[in-house]
Amino acid sequence: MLEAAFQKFPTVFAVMKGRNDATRECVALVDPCAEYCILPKVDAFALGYPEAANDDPVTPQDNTITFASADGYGKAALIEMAEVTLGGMSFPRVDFVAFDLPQVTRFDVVIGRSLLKETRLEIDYPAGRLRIGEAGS
Amino acid sequence: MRLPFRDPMLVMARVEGERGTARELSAAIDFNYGYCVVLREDATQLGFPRAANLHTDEWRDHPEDTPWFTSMRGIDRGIKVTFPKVSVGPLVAKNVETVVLEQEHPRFVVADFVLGRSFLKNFKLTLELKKGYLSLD
Repeated sequence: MLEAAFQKFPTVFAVMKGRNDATRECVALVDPCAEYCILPKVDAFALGYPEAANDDPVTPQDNTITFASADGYGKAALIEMAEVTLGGMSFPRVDFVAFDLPQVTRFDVVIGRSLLKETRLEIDYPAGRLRIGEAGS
Repeated sequence: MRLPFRDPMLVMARVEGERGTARELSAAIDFNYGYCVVLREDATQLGFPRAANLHTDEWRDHPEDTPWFTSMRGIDRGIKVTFPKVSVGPLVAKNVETVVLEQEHPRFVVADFVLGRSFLKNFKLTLELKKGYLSLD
């Protein structure tokens, strides 16, 4: 169970472990509207996913997906993060897309439904409290 | 109020405007959009004729009503209107700040209205994807 206070946006502190056992820690936006989790390409590369760096439109990687967002259609590499830790909870093999969000959003990482499907999420907007527990808890 | 989770999360919202006008609109719930969003035509018919202006024109006379805000698209700006009442089933929020989109939604967005944080801030949200529901209390 993870409980956190938030002011404007519901956020959590996330630790991501890649397939080369490197880790990245960040404050991540919790967004149930996002189908996948999102992280910047440079971090995906550093975590052992070099295919995230391929932006060749002629010869895309096999794991390149096309997605629809508020900004139109886009393409990004779909990668499987070895492990994501939120508080005391660990989630193995979480799908992420390697995609650079606009800088003005002030978030690099988004926790989307590819992870939240394993959880029970409570966002209490009036109280500014966020709670994430195991599904069924 | 418990709703089956869908992607996108669409509900019917009743939006009450000025002088007793009201419309039932197909609305998408967006957990991290700062404002609610309404289309220009709907805002005009709901009693806000200035919604028909361009925000660049409106800004000259009413800069306080044309806020900048950030979204996953980047930096946006729109004319702000305040609906006296927005309801989804038994859930009612009063004085809901809403921005008028300068351009219409892209065609792949199938909603006429976005329920953002200016509406959701009044409620507690629980999401459990494995059980396939979203509840708002």
